[in-house]
Amino acid sequence: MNEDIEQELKNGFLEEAKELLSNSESCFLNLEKAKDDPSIIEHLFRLAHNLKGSSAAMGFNDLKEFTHTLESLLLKIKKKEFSINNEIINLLLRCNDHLQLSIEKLKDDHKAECKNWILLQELELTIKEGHTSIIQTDVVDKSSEPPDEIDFHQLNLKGHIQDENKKSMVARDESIRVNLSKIDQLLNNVGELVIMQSVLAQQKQQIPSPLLQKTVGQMTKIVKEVQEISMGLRMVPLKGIFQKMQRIARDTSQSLNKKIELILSGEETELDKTVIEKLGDPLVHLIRNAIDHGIESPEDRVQLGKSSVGHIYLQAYHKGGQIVIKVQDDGKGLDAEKLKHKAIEMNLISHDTTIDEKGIFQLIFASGFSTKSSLSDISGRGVGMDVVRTNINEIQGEIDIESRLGEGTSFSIFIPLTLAIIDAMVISHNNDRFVIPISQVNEAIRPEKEWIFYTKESEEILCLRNETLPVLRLEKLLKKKMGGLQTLTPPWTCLALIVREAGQKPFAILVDEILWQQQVVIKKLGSELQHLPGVSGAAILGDGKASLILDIFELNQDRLKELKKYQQYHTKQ
Amino acid sequence: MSGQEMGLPDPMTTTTQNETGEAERYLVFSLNGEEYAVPLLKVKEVIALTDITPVPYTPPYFKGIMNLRGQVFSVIDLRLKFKMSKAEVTSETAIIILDLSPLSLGVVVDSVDSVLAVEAKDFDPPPEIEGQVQMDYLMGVTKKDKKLILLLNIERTLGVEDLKIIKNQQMNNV
Repeated sequence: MNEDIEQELKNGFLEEAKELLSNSESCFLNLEKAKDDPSIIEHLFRLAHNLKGSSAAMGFNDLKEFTHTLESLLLKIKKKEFSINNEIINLLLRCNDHLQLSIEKLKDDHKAECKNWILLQELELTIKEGHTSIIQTDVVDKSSEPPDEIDFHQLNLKGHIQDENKKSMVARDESIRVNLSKIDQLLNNVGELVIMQSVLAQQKQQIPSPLLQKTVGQMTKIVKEVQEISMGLRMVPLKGIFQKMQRIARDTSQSLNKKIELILSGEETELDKTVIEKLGDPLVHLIRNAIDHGIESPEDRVQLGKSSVGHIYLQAYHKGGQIVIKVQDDGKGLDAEKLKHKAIEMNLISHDTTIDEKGIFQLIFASGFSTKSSLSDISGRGVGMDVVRTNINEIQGEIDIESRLGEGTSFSIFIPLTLAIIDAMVISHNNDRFVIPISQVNEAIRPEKEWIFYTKESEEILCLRNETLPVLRLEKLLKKKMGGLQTLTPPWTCLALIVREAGQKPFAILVDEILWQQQVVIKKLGSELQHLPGVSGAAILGDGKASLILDIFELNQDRLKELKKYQQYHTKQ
Repeated sequence: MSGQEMGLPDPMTTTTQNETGEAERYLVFSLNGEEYAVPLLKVKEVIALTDITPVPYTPPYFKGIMNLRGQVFSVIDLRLKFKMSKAEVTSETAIIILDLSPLSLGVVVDSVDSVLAVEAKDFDPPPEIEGQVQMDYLMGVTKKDKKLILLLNIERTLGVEDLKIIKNQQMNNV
């Protein structure tokens, strides 16, 4: 992976870690007051677990070692092998401080050393002995100072450095947290502003005032920029997070001695920022699980007749008003029987509960569930999947599991589209306007008369570069009333949009004109229109009119299904 | 019909409290010469007729979708829903945006007339003989200036269940 991406990723991680650690500090303090609250411990444990995983992925080994030990301590606390007293809290807070310090150090220099032997030893001793044992020294950084000149100088230095760091931590905050509702309001208003200003721009022609013309022109530019910036505020492409996965996949596969190829698609898909943040951890867990549990070792794979390299597909795409993120592997799949037994063992279900395969798969998300008998760095503590489901629920998403024993597993995360922007083309047909996502259109051409043929059923066919494509009329797809076949415009006067989708026969659609191309914000249709075939939402065009966003694939699927039914009906006669 | 028809106080003026409870306020509108009313609390907004984009695969009374300050609403032609004849659009034609949680919808009406406070005692059950509107669409009737105002059960009227335009409907039509 090239330098820049690595830098960016590391910085990103450090930013996040900083936030996490300020959050954990208050958690530790709360813990002191509410000693018996299991949710705080759960939360802290998960934080440590995540921090450990991510720091390992980023190559910050000191951090990883430390958090691993911290995590073990938290696990013991979670299991109630420790009672929470003042000393423990102190120890934990010092750990938090150390982590914060380390993060600051790493921000300046990614290769900085962040060992704190004393603290680490204390942690390990505490875990072993079952109570806190504090090692009495006042040394801050053992690696630098020669032993003679310690004492007084050192003591002051410790206090001083702590303060200094706290100060710099406050000063260096380059981003601020903004309430999302404020951004929503902003976006709505900006949308209105754009419409108003386009109306104004049209009207300016009427008034012969050069100053007015000039001002409106400039205003148009500024409004455009404001629109771009505000839209950019919330929407972020998945690219960043997908690339992070490359690193995780690589490291995980190396440490497990498995050969993995991670194939990405749809990384340009944009999502709301908060949604992407929440997706980070689940994706990390899913990919690691796929590598750890799913993909077999190279030798096993070859024996089974598979390629020695395991494949993991990380895809993102739009489907019916939702964004789908899919993690699919060609590994050994989920063993429903084994899962069922484990669940019974864990008292999640009883012996005689009837449960179908899908239900069994969903059991994976239960806290603590793991079919692995030993702990590994990567997984096995039974925490990962729990985090996955929690995070996904928080963004109002759903996760679906499909698996075939021996062939592989796929996890699909469905996220509702609250705000999503797509590149689309606005087409006109029969004086109606529709929006078609550009991703669905492979080509747009104006066919020549000679390219169109007719079959004996009077179906239109387009012959394009040695390929025969069935030609569909948009009216037919939308089942709109046509003024009789005779009034159909000849196909060569229309525009043909060539549609190709993997695994399906390509076809062409005839539309009157492509008006223009623009980015549109997908607006959800009310529940009364949810089941409209072929319509995935609505968009508000520049002139303020609402327009439907078509899903050409779905329209075609619909048509094919109906055709099949029709044919079946007729063959029966 | 009942003795209450004599000496009815004018319900238009104030929301007078009486022993049977408070008055409910309704928005009164016209359709094909007849007056109807819906509970005011369900009315989000009233706007003039605006551009409506037709939507395929929908029943004829479904006019389409419209944009209102960045939000997309479905619009229904109430005349067609009540199987009345289609009307000419006039300057009075309006859209009432209704809040029928979880749905929001707009309905096109001939004109929006007034806000009416109807006290419980002025609220009569629906009459046996009706005009062009079917029985279960009405919650009741009230009188104002000798004119009958039909109080609509708006959810029932719009068949909030039927509005889920089901795919199956299309499939079954092959």
